[in-house]
Order: sequence, then C-alpha cells, then structure tokens
Amino acid sequence: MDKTFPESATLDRGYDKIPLPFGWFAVAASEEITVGDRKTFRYFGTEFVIWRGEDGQLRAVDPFCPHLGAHLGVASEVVGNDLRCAFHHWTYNGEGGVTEIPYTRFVPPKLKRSCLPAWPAAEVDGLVYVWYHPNKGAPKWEVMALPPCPEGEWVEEERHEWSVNIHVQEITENGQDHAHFASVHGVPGAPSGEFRLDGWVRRNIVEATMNTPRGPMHGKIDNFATGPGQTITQFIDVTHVVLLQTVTPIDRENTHIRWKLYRQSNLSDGKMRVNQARMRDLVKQIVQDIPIWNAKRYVPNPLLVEGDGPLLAYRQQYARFYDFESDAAAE
Amino acid sequence: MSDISLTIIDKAGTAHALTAGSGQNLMHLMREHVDMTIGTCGGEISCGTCLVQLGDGWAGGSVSVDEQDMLEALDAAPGCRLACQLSLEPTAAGITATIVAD
Ligand code: FES
Ligand code: FES
Ligand SMILES: [Fe+2]
Repeated sequence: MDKTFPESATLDRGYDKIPLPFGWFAVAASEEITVGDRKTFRYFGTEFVIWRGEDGQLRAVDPFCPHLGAHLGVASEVVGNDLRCAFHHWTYNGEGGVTEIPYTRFVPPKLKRSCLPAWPAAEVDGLVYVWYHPNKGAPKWEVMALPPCPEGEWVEEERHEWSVNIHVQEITENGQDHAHFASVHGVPGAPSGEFRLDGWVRRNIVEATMNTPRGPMHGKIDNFATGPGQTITQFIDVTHVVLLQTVTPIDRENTHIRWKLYRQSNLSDGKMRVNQARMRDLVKQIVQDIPIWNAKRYVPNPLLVEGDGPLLAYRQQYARFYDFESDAAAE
Repeated sequence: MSDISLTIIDKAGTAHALTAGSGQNLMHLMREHVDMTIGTCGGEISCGTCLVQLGDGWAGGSVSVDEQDMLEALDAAPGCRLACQLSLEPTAAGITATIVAD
C-alpha cells in the first residue's frame, strides 16, 4: 500500500515564523570577560564582539570591520579602552568610531563619529547584558537589578544553565500556564493571585502551596519580568529565595537559559535546609519542563479552557516586543 | 539634456577640457578622464583625495556636516570642495576645477 505522510507539515514546529523580540538579554557572566579580553558571542542568529577596556567597562560591536571586513573577534587586540582590528590596525571605541588608523594623515571625521554598529551593553548583578533590536532601535528600559535584600546582602548560592530547543517566547509563557503546574510539576492546587501587565513589565504575585521538606507550605511567589529576557522571582515563606532567570535567544528555535539562585545570609540550619529544598525543587521543575519544551510546537491559536491561565494576555503583551517599527512607542 | 563643458586642471597643471551631462558626479568624471588616483574611498568622505578648488561661477551647492568636517581636517582653502559630493548642474557650465595636490 502506498501511503505518503506529509512529514514536513507534521514536524514544522512553527518557530521560524516567530521573530526574535527586542530587549536586554544576558550573554555572559561578568567574569567570562576580564580586562583586556575580547570575545565573540553568537546569539540572536548573529554574532557580536564584546571587549573590556582597561577602565573595566564593556563594549560591544558588530563583528565585521567596515574597512575591509576582518572579523573583529579574530586576532584583534584591546588597546586601552579600544579594540584594534588585526587586519590593518584600525582602532575602534565603544561607539563604533575609529580612533586610530596607523597609515593615514588623520582619522576622517565621519569615521571618527561612528562607522561600526555598536550594541548597548550593561553589567548588572554579575551578568553581561546586550540590547538586541533587529533595527538597532535604542533601549526602551533598563536592565532590572535584584530586589533589595531584607537583611544584609544576597548570597549567590547556585548557578545553572540550559540550552533549550525552543523559541524564547515559549519559556516565559510557561509561568502563565496554570494547568501544567499540577500535571508536570505535581504542585498541589493552581496558583491564585494577581497578574499585571504594564508597559514592558509583567508581574505575577501568587499565594501558592510550595513543596518543602516539612510538607506543602503556604507562601508567596512574586514574579517580576521586565522585557522578554529577564525574570526575577522571589519565593517567600519561612525563608526568602530569589531566582534570577535570563533567557537569551541563540536563534529562533534555541534559547540559552541562565539561573542564579540567591538566599539570605546568616540562616539557621533549619532555614538553610528549607532553602536548599526550595532550590532543588525549582531545578527539578525546570528539568521537568525541558523535555516538553524541546519537542513541542508553537500553537498560534491554542484550544484553551477555564483554568488554563492568562496565556493570551501574556501573548498580547509579548507582541509589543515584536513592534520593531514604532520606535517612538511610549516608554 | 544638454552637455556641460568644463575644464579640469590636473596635479601637473595640465588643463583637460571635458563635457558631461547634468547630474554627473564630478569625482567619477575626473577619475575616469583625468586622474585615476583620486577617489580612493569612492565618495564616502573618508579619503580626501578628490579635493578640488572650484573657479568662479559655481560653488557646488550645499555642504554636508561630514564634508565640512573633512574640509577642515584637510585644511582646505576657501572655495575647495570634495568632488565626490558634487553633481554637475547647468549653472556649472564653463567652470574650471583644479585638483588639489596633496
Ligand atoms: S579590515 Fe579592519 S582594519 Fe582593515
Ligand atoms: S572620494 Fe574620498 S572624499 Fe571624495
Ligand atoms: Fe514549568
């Protein structure tokens, strides 16, 4: 019997149809780029080069030298605060302006201003962020920092990274998918609470039952996202754990997730155990999500029922991060 | 479109009588007919090799910020322009442009 299956149609996961959102995205841990270092990064389906000048500041630019096309991440050198291309030793500052050309009488004023597209870069809480915008639109908000620690300083307890085979939008949608908490994570009861979307910010404060070594415990989860790349979640009950999650598109179907987990200092042994269990549980949950993410498809018109959570409101707000044309949109 | 006749004086002081159509870029005209060493950057305002002194009768129109800065960096005399920024127009008929030696 002759039967042909439309394989490409059934396996099309739909991610090549969703663009990459603009925003601040983490691309490295601070210590990966020391003074005098330059590195090439591959995210957003493209490459860029970051270096740290002797003043300690990070600078990021497009990869190819506009002179004759050398890759600025190959054999180039950090000179002072600038980056010197290996090919003919043109030197660039962080704005993409030429600061030196060794063989011509003076640097042409037009090139001095800028001739190499630069990327806004920032460094917050030990992570390096760049602002991605396909049309090089300027940043519309600032990188979000950790909330103040109620007592003393946050202690960074754990770090995790995952490379996941899914579009970046789908990962943060997971938090709005109420029904999966019971089925995938075995969390008792659907979380109830307030959900606010405001400009570039998404905030979700829920009273939830969380698993602890002493059994399920009632607590508050405060989830705060600014833009598509950064979410800070605080888990507050007898202890206070902060999860800084960044999601960075490698391309349309691959995303790099970074987690930094923080706790308060000077904890009693008992609270320390609750903390460790909380962190273990969080990691367990994302490890439960990942196989589903790696294989699922994007459903533009999902079949939703009562109890599914504010998925469509989430998507509606998220569409703002794809509004590449109207750069003048309200701040 | 009627042709515009003009005179280009090269770096050796030799005069070249040329005719060109309106809209023709002066640097390209000179590079093709007078001196192939000018116009290194192709009109990006980054080499200065197309510097010309315009004779009386045509000033070449408005000067952009990039060109103005380049003229200053080159220490160009009054009446000098970057030929790559100039398009011939009927009012340029009969002018003389002298390529400035570096
Ligand atoms: S290609 Fe970079 S200096 Fe020439
Ligand atoms: S051709 Fe280079 S400045 Fe005119
Ligand atoms: Fe999940």
